[in-house]
Amino acid sequence: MNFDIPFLKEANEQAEREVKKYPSNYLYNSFRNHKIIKVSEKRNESNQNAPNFTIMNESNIEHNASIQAKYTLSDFTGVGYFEVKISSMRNSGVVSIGLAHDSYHTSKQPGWLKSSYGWHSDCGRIYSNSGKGTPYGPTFTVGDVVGCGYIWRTGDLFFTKNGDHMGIAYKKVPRTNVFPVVGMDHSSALVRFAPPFIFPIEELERQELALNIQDVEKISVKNDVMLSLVSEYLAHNGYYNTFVSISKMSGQDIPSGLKCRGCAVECLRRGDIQGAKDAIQQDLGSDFFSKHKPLEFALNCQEFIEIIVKGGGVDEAVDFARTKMNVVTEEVTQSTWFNTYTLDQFLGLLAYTDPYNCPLSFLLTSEHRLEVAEQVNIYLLEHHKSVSYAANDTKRRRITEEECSPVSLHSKLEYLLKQLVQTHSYQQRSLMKIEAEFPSSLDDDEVDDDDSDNDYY
Amino acid sequence: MSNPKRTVSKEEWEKKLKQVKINKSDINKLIMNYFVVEGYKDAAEMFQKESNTPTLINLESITDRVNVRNSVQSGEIEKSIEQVNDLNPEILDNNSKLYFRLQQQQLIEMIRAGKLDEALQFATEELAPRGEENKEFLDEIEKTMSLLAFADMSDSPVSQLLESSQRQKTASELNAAILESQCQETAPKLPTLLKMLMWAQKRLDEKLIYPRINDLQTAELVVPNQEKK
Repeated sequence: MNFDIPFLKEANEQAEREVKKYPSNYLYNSFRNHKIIKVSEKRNESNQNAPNFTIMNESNIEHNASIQAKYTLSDFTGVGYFEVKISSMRNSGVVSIGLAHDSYHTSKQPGWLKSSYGWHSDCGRIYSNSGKGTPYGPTFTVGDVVGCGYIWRTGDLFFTKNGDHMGIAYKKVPRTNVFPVVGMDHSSALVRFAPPFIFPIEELERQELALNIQDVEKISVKNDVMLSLVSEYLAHNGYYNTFVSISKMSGQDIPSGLKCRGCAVECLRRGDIQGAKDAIQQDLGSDFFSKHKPLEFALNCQEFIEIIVKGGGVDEAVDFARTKMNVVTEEVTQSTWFNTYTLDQFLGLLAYTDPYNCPLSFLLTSEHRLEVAEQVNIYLLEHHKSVSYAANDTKRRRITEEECSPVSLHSKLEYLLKQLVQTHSYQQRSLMKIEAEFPSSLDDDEVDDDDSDNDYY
Repeated sequence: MSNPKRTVSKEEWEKKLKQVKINKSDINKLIMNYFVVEGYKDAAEMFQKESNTPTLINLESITDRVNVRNSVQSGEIEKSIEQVNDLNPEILDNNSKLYFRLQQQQLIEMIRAGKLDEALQFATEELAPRGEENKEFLDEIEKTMSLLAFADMSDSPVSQLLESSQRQKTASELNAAILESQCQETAPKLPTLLKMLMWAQKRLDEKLIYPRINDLQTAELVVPNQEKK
């Protein structure tokens, strides 16, 4: 599905980058090996990545051989489809086209056994778990192009002949039973799994896309759930005034400390470090920083950067560093802050006459400033949490699990959106038939898990 | 010989999840879009100041919609109908279902206020004829009237009609109709993204066993077939 949203696009692109490490024919369907039916690849003029296939049963003894594709039509969330053009057939022979579960018998025509569906050329009947079949459409023979399609949304299975839709043959066919199967006795055929097809599939695909989008819209997301998620996002990120403006509707209480945290974080986002410090001290006490040295150090580092950003001279910066940044107690050096950004990096900025064009210039960016604001935000969130946790402890209230767990780095809304991106990304990967997950473990040796590659039926 | 579905462990999934980067400014745009479409004008203005997120439309145009929404949310349905008709009489003229929904809300408000005679009169004169045109409307009228059968209406199986969420629902529908008449997008993007999440998870369920989010409100990852602690 194509949604014009930046982070979904990014997920798509990443999945595509990963697939370039694999041979391109992993993207499209192909046939499993068969003892009797010979398969050879042909070029697809319109799509270099998707081969077409010639399949041939030259045996005079083995009637009713059927060959199955590797991948299922249910991979396509719109319309899954393939086409077969019959090149040659013996007199009073049978060719059949259909779908089945993924390990269908190799010497039974599709439709004869359970969990399979087929349209047979000699009588034009359709079969599903039956030897007799039911009337459906015309017969077909050498020169005809027959197709079989599956609608993901409804489970409708249909056939086509020479570009004409022959009608829905079966409804609600389970998505596990739709691997393409072609049955043939002494005959040969050309098979396409990718366009261009004789049947005009685009119209059907467009319809299905629209109907799928309708299905998505029908899913219920309650207004109050939406409001509470938006509220939580606002609170988590310190947007105090916005939070208050919808608090009547969302019914959410204003979390303690939100106003101060919001003010401090807003100052940081603007690069007003002193303002942030003032806001924190006003709310949490003038001695707050003496008890939270790592935080003070982090803020001082950013203040140092702001001096440079505002064009303050080297002297001013050095003075500042000497008075404020020379506190390297153990408490500070053990903190995550100190280990993420080393003191050398900050001071290193002084070495360049043009700090904006040096390897450390990333420190001067607004992205870095926003990151610092984020980290301070989380720090304050954790502080408030531990304070209220301690207060409840003295009240001897039952401690909830939520209170014990660490503050989450992101609001619930962000987690939901990340989950959306990740789910989408894994779906794309599964379509591209990638089995390995981490880029570092993608070796050339790792082949598709489908063992049936090596089994000859 | 079917391939069993692969499983992704919680650790593996969460590790990958950490690497997913979503731009805060993108999310802020979605939040702004939510405020604007839903008509939360104050919130939009505040948010613009606090987060520096631009609005693409003139916030003043939201005021009309806000007034209508406020009327509905405070139960003044007749007032809201007047306001909508002032804005554009075609909105209600062309949408009989919406108009019925407003009338139903009027009935609910009368029942809530204990004005039972008024309610019965309204139901007989205004709503019954609508019920004759349309079976769905009739069902809704009966549902609403059934509130009267209970001395304590919160005992009624349809007691949610009295909740503010019902007013919200009506307000949202009216809001969407106004937006449509102004040729603006009628639905905010955020809820659609959450709907997509639910749909996409269902689709991936066919291929993979992995930690899912089942409840939007808690946003907790749950591995299927595992007992939730």
